[in-house]
Amino acid sequence: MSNAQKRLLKEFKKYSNPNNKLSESIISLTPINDNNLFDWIAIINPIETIYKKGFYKLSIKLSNTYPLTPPIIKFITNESQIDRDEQITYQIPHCNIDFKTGEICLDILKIDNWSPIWTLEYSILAIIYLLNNQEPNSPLNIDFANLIKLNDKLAINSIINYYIK
Amino acid sequence: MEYSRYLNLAKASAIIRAHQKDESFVKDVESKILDTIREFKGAAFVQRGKNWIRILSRVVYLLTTMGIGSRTLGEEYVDIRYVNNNRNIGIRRRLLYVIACIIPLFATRLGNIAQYGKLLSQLNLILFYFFGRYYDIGKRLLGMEYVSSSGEVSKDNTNVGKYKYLGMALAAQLTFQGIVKVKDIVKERQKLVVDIDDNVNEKEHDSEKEETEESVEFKTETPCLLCLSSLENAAAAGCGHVFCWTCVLEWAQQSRSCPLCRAALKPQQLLLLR
Ligand SMILES: [Zn+2]
Ligand SMILES: [Zn+2]
Repeated sequence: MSNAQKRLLKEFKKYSNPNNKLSESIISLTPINDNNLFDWIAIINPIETIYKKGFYKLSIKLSNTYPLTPPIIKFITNESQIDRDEQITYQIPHCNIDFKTGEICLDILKIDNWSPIWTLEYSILAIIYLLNNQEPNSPLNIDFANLIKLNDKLAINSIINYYIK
Repeated sequence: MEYSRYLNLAKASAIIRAHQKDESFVKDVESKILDTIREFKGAAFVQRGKNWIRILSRVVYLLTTMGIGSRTLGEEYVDIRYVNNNRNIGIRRRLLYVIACIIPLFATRLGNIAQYGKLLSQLNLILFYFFGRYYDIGKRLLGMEYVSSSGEVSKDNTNVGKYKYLGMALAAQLTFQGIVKVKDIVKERQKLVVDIDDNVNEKEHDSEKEETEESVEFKTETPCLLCLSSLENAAAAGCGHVFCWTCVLEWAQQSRSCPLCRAALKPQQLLLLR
């Protein structure tokens, strides 16, 4: 078993232990199947952010160099019709999230700023933190960045909630 | 006794002294080999290959002494030699003994069998303290008995003297450990019946137990934040933060800052804590 697998197994055990409560915003955080620890899914309900009404799904991909290299985390925006879950919102308007691909621009998940002491749970919490702390000066979604710059709260909320069922 | 009058069964004390002397020579060889390899391959390589190098040193030492048919330095020092049924020990038996030294290298892969090995060598030691003759299990299996060419004749024919008290103490300790172990197993069984449906919990418990057994040597309460396991060969960075040696070294190859505080991290400043 590689170091990456050992570490991921530790994390998996921690997250699946009922005595160990995850943040209330994280609904689930597990590998897609038990045999492959390099491919995870997280479902979040970011209750303390302006996205609180939505449930979002994130894909987490890891390589054998984890935790020396960061996980690659994306919002899932284009799930096939078969796997689609009615509960999940697949569109998320956010300055630093690519509306089409779900790619996230977050400095701590870039290799130069990543620290191996951060876990998958911590990474997801950092993304939830990013939801309320948008950075319009390095946008992946220019239209939404303009709205944030104008600080038009009503428009911002109505666009976010437009996509949530 | 059917030994010729020149050769008396070696005293337990002499056998132990010979072994201790040999151990210290093996240590010498080991440190020389370590220095040489460190010179060419670096500290990290040495750290990773420590087990190999340790056993290599022993093999080199034994091959150049016992392997060529002469005595080890320790045996020479206390003037003892091997016999088997009154005859000198042949080269084949000696080589077999040297080869057997490699077995501990696979101990981690053998898993449970390694534990039985440990138990057997403890039993062997108890037998030695009571009856003398074979200090290590390889020699017992190969029937490599020591005789002394010095003229001292001891009064009791087992030649162990006061060592039998040590044997008793060891036997008592082993028995006690055995009782505790059996109790544990019984408890485990009962528990298994109780939470037979609580599958996940039980698995968790098992793996935790495995882990404590594995890392008895370097048991520390604080886990390494890099591998999330208990610290193995703790190493301190220049800033004072502690990780496993291999974990932090691997990280230092790609980043020159401490994972915790981002202070400059220089591999040459890493301090192995013992
Ligand atoms: Zn570690
Ligand atoms: Zn530090």
